[in-house]
Amino acid sequence: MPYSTTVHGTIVIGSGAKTVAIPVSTKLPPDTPGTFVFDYTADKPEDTTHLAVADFADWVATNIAAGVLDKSSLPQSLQTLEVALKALHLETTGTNFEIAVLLGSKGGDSTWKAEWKPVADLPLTLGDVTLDIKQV
Amino acid sequence: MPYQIALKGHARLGGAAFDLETDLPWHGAVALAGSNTSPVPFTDVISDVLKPTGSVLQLPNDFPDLLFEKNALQIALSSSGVSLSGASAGEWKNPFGVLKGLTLHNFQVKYSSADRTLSFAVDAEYGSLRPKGQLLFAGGKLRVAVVTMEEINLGTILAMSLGLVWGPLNALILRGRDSAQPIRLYYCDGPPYAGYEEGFRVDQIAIEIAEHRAEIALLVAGGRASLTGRFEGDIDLKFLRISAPDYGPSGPEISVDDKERVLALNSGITFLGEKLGTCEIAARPPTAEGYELRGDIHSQVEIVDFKKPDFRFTWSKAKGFNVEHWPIPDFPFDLNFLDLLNKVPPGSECGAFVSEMFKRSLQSRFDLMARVEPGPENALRFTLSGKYRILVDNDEILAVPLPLHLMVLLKPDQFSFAALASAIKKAAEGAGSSLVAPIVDPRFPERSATFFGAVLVPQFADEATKLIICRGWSAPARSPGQRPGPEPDRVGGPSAGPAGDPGPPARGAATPDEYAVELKRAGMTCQQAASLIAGAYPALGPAALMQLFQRNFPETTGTPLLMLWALSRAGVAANSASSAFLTLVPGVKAASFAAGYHTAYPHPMVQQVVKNLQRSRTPRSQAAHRIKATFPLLTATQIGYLLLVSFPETVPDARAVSTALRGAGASERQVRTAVSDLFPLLSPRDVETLLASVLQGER
Repeated sequence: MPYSTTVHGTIVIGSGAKTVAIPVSTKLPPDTPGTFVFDYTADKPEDTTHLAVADFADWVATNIAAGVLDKSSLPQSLQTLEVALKALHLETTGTNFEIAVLLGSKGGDSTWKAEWKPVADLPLTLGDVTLDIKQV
Repeated sequence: MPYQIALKGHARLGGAAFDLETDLPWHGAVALAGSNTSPVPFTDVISDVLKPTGSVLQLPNDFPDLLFEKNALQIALSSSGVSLSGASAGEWKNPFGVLKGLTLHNFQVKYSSADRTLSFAVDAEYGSLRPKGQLLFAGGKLRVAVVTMEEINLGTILAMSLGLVWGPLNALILRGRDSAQPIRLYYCDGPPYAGYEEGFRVDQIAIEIAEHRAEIALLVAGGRASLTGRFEGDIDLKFLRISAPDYGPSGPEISVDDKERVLALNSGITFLGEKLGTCEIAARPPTAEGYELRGDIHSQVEIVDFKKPDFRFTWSKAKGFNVEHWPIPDFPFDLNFLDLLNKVPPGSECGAFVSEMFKRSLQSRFDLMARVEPGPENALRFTLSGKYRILVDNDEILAVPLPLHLMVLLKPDQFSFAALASAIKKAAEGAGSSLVAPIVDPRFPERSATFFGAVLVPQFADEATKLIICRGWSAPARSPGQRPGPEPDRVGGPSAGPAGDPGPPARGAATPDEYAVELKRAGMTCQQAASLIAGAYPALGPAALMQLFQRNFPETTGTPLLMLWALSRAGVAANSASSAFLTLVPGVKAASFAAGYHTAYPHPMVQQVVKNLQRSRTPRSQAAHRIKATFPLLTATQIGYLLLVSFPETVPDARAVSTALRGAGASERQVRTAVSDLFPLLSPRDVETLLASVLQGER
């Protein structure tokens, strides 16, 4: 009878009370000896826990690199949104990291939507707004 | 390790999705850019972006359905708004149904929500030209379609957009105002917008006329075209200055419409330093020699000595300034007849006239016709012809043709009417005795008789008459019954002889026969003497005159034509002449009489045409041709007669008659007949010699 070995863990984004726990796993042995690769893709990101954009930016500054995501440079309308994790790719080599989050908010119907209305007096709404941070 | 951050999303406009993306960190405003993921109509996209502005997209019915293919429409989104740009391969022929001949394609739209401007850059075809163009919107309404060009022929526009031909104007080359302001050909729908006037226009056009720059615009409306514009300043040719109609600081106005088909300069004219008023000048474009300006000057002001100048001029760089006919009527200049007559040879052996012989009220005035052309060293050359009139007590008694042309050269520092008047007077003085030679020309004895009859002081008339006779000139006739020599009872009385009431013949010709003999001795034919005799003896009726003529001038009254001609010259009415002739010559052949009668007494319509030709100073060759063309049934004799009596200055003799008749198409035989009929003193041999000479001259 064959056996498989899987390493499970949780990546926590955010800090304090506002955190998003991301369950990740990888099978052993890894494809590349000594290197674990973790992939996560949310089925319904809209329905997961959301973080304020500012909190997410703080987390990025703390855990990835300072200055990667300068929240002060974001337009005000973007700063009021929340993020929902969409996908994550992590390799233990530390050389290949990517995280994609949706940006959105709850609308009048209390449904969280990944939408952003960048210009107030324009009837133009961006849908499926995604922020992608990728190590290069 | 470096990180790359991207913000992505998608938007929907006009029913199509646009993928947008931007890299972070941002420097300044966020700007997402992307393009359409599927084909999208222009109208749908723009309607969407215009919606919040309250504007509604309004396009003319013939505007093409523009479609932006996948990824052809770029969108940029920033905090300041949305902008669109992209190209569509549509085609718009004859935009607005007005800009005929123009085809727009490759529509490159630009829209910015920040300033709400919507426009298209377009490529265009206009004949062989490939101009660039623009479509401008006010809000959502398409207002202007414009293409720009550096240069185009007026004819191309007229042909392409109007189907018009403006003849020589077609070659007019239109150029842009400058490199930054090329020619604009456009249609502006509605009132003026963004610097464009309403309607179909071509503007920002510069042309150059007479080395002066003007800006013009072409307006097309109602299937017609008109052109208007203005020179930047006056056209100054030194002697002639062409200004604005009100003589304001701006230059003359330019206009043309498709009726006139010639550029017209609405101007205020200054000629020889005098403002003569408004004038419309035609500028005939543009040959290899440049423009020719042609204007009719009708002066609105009176110039001393020149009345109100009225003439047509032409000017071109190659040919300079030219005037063919400038009538200068009633130009005042008193000839010194005493000096001039004394200088006419031969005279020294007869003695001299003295001033006491001439009335002090003797005056002369010139009716001149000036031809003006360029002279050396930028001067103007005036060639003056015409006549002068002799007046006594302000009554005209004689008109004398100038025997030669007076030449005047006006240098640039003399460009004034005063200088011209002075120069004309000097030229007349310089002509000397030749001016009075026509008065005593033996070919026109009635001139001499009339002149002396009017100007001599009665007390000295006999003494003067002796001088006149001695010199071989024709003396004035004297009243019937008056004897030669001083008559105390008449001294100081009425003048012995104004024309039409001449005094008796100088050498004692107390009877009509004696007077006739004297006139014949002076070389007159009956036709030449007839008026003098009739004037001297007004009591003579037609029959008496006819008998007198027969007795004294048998050589020149031998045919019905010659006799009726003499009666006509004597002032006998047609009916009276006819009645007298048929009474005295009952056996005359009807055909011969009719031919003579219709010659000597032309039909009133014929007389009217001849009068018109006289007034228009038609040259003899043309006069003969015109008479023949108008009245093809007239015989050569009749035409010759009309020329002889109506144009005596240019058709004075048999040679001139022959030449004119030949010029009008008369055959050799017809000319021979006419000369024989009209010049009875010429022998058949003379006639043949003359004819041979004329024919030889034609070769």
